[in-house]
Amino acid sequence: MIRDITLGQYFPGNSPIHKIDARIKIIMTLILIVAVFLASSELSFALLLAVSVTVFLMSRISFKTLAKGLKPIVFILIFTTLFQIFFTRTGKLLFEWHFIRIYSNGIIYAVKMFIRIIVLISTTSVLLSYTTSPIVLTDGIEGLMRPLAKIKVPVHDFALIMSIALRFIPTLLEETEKIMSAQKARGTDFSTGSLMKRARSLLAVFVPLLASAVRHAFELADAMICRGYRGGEGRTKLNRMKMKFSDVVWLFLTGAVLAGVIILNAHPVFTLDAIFGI
Amino acid sequence: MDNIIEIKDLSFSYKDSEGKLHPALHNINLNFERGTYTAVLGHNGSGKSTLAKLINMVLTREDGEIEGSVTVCGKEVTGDISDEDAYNIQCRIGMVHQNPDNQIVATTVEEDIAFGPENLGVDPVEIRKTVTEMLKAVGMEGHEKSAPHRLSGGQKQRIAVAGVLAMHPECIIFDESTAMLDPEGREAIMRTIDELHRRGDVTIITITHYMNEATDADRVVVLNQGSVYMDGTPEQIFSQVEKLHSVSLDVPQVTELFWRLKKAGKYNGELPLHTNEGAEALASLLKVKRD
Amino acid sequence: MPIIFENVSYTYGQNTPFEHKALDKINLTINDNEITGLIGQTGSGKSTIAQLCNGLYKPDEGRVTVNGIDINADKKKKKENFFRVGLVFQYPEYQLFEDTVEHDIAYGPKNMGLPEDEIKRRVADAAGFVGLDAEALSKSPFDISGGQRRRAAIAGIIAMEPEYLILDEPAAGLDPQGRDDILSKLKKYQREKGISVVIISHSMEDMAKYCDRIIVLCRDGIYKTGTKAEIFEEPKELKSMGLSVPQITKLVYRAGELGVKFDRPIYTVDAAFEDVMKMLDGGDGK
Repeated sequence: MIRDITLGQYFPGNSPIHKIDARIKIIMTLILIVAVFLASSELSFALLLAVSVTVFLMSRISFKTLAKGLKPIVFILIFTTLFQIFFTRTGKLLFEWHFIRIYSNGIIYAVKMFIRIIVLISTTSVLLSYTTSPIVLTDGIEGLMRPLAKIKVPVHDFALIMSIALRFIPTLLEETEKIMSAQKARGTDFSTGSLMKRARSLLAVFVPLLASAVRHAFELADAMICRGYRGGEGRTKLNRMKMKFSDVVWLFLTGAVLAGVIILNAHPVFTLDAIFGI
Repeated sequence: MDNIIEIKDLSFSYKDSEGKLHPALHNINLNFERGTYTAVLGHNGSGKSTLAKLINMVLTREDGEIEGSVTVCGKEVTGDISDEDAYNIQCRIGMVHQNPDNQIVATTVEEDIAFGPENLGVDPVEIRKTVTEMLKAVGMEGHEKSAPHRLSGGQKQRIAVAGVLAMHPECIIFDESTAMLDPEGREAIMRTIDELHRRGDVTIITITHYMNEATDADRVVVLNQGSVYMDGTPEQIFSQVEKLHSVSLDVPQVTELFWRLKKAGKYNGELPLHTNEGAEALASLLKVKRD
Repeated sequence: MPIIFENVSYTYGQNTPFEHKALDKINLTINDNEITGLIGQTGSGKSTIAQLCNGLYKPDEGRVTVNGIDINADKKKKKENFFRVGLVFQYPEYQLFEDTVEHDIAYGPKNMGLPEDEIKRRVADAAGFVGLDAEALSKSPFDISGGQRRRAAIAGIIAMEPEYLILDEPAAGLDPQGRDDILSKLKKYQREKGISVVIISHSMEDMAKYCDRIIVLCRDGIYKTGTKAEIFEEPKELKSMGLSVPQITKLVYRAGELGVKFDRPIYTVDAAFEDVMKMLDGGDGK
C-alpha cells in the first residue's frame, strides 16, 4: 500500500552514526563537504576515502543499499571520469592511438574526481538520509536555525510547517491512490488519449484531492486551536535535543579531518606523479 | 448545583457568503452539571455539532447571528470576551472531532500527545509524565514512537483522546468521534469514555447518532431541527419509542422488541436497554406465562 | 453468470520492506441476482476482494472470472470490466469533481462512449433511483448535503448500469435514517434490475436486514459462506473473530442461557417478536 512508503531513505538502526545529534550531523556534513572541495593532494584524498569508508562501516548500512543510492549518479560519475581522462592534455603522455591521447594528469584528475564524487555522495547520504529520520532532521534544522529567531526569523513557524507537511504526506498519498482507483473504476484513462483528454483525467483526481486538502487544513486548524495553539511564544518542547559528550567528540574528529586535509595538501608525502615517474 | 456549561435562550443562524441567514439552533435552554455524562442525539442537520462549536468558540459572532447566551466555567463565551479568557476556556474544554486524521498534528504519537501541554508551556519533565499517563489511560502504552499514519482509525482516535486529556480539561466534548471507526475502534473509544466517566473528574458530552452509544450516559438530550426535543435519563428517553421514530431516530433492538410486546399487550414492565436486562426480562416473561 | 475467485492470492507492496499478504489462496463465488454481504474485521481483505472483482488489482496467483471470462487475461478489455463490475468506494462522495451533480453522474457513462441521449436517460434513471431531484442535479457537488453527496456518488456508478454492483461501506457515517434510506434503495434497485449486489459492511444489523447471503472473512481467509441463519447460529464464533452479531441475536443467545429456547436462529426484531408471541400464545416456552 502506498502508505507504507518511507519518506527519504531512512533506515532505522542503532549504530553509533544513528545516535549522533542531528544538528551535529548537519554540521559534520557541511565540514566534510568543505574538506572534499579543499582536498588536492593524493594523501588528503586517501584520508577522505578512509573517513567515508569508516563512517559507512560504522553505520551498518548494507553495501547493497549504498550502491542503490549511488545508482543515479553512475552516469555522471563515468562521464566526468572519462572527460578528465581524455581531455586533460598536461603531464606525461602515456598512451596514443590515432587522436586519442592519454596523459598522466588525466588519470590523476580522473581518480581525484572519482573519489570526490563518491565521498561526497556516500557521506551525505549515510550521515543524513540513511541514518537520520526526516522528522529528526527537521528538528535538527530548527535547532540550528533557532538563533535566527532573535532577529525575527519565524523559525518555529517554518519548523511547524515542515513537520505538518511530513505528517500529512502519507495521508495525502493514500488519498491520491484511493481517488485514482475510484476514478479508474468510473472508466478514467490516465495513460492513453490526447493531451487534452489526459489533462481532463488528471482534473478528476486533482479537484477532489484539493478539496480534501482544504478540508484537512480547516479541520486541523480547528483542532490545533482547541488544543491551545497560539504560535511559538511560550511553548515548551517534549523532546529537547541534548548534546551528548560523544557528539562533541564527533564534531572534533570531523574538524580534525578538515585540518588533516589542509595539512596534507601542503605537505605532499608522495604523489601519483612519482608512481608514473616524471 | 454546579454547572460547567449553561445555555440560555440560545438561537443561532449561520451567515453565508452573501449575508443570508440559515437558522441552525432555536431557543435552546440546557445546563450541563459538572462530572456528568450526557449524550446529545439527533440526526444529521439537527444542530448538535453547531451547539458544540458554540460552546468551544469555534463558532463566534463572525460566523452568524447569536441570540441568548452560552456560559462556560462562569464566563459568557457568546458575549464580549477577552482573548485571554477565551483562550483559557478553550483550554479547559477539550474536543475530540470526527476525523482522527485531522486532529493529529505531529509525526510521532508522543509528540502529538505533548502538543497541547507544549502550547501551555508545561515543563518537559512534567509533559513526559503526562504522555505516559495518558497513553495508559487510552490503552495505547508502548506506542510512544509510532508514526500516526501507521495506526488504525480506532488507535488514531484514541491518540486524539489522549492528546485532549493531556491538557487536563474539565469537560470533553466528543463530536461524532466514533462515526468513522469500525466496531472494534468504536468499542475502544466507548470503553475509554466509560473509564473517564468512572474516574469522575471530567464532564463528558458525546454527540452521536448511534443509539447504543447513548444508553450508558447519565442523561440523553435529543435535538431535532435545532431545538431540544427530549431531555431525560436513557430509560425515560428510550421508552418513548414512537416519539423517537417520529424524528427518524432508532432505539436499541432489545428496547424495540419489548416495546412491540408492550404494544401487543404482552409486557408491562420497564423497557430494557441492554442485552442482559432484556434476556432476564424475557426469561421472567416466559416463565410467568408457564406458571 | 457469477464472479468466481479460484485460489486467489494478493500481496501488497511486493518486494518492499512492508510486504503484506492480504489474501492467501481464497475461493469464493458471488452469485447472480442476490445481495451478498461481505463482512470481516478491518484488515481481513474485504476491500482487496472488491478491487480484485473489477480488475483494479491483479491477483499474484489464481484467477478471477466474471461471466466465465478471466478478467486479467486480456489487457485491452480491462476497461470493459470496470463497467461490468461497478465499484463504489468507501466515502465515495470525496471523488465528486464535476461542476454539477448531473455532470458528475454522467462522467462514467461518458467514459463508456455512449451516445448523448443514452447518457441523459441513464443519468435521469440513476438520479431517480437514489432520489436526487432536478434542483440537486443542477447544483455543484460541493454545495449539497453530505447525504445527498453520498447518493450522487452512488448514482455515478449506477448510471454505468453494471451487472454487478459492489459497495464498500455504503452507509458509513450516515445517521439511522440515512442508512436505511440508502440500503433500502439499493435493495429495491437490486430486486427491480435483477443484478448482483455486494455490500461490504461492519454492521451485522444491516447485513441481517438487507442481504440474502453472507460471506464472513477472517484473517486467514474465508471463514464461512452461507445464509443469514447459517451465519448467525454461531454468535460466539463470530465474536471471537472480533465481529459482532445483531443485538437481538445477542439477546436471544443470552436468553437461551437462562432457559428460553427459540426454535430457529434469530437475527431480526421481527422474527424475535413473532417467536416470542408464539411462545406466549402457544404456551410452549421450554
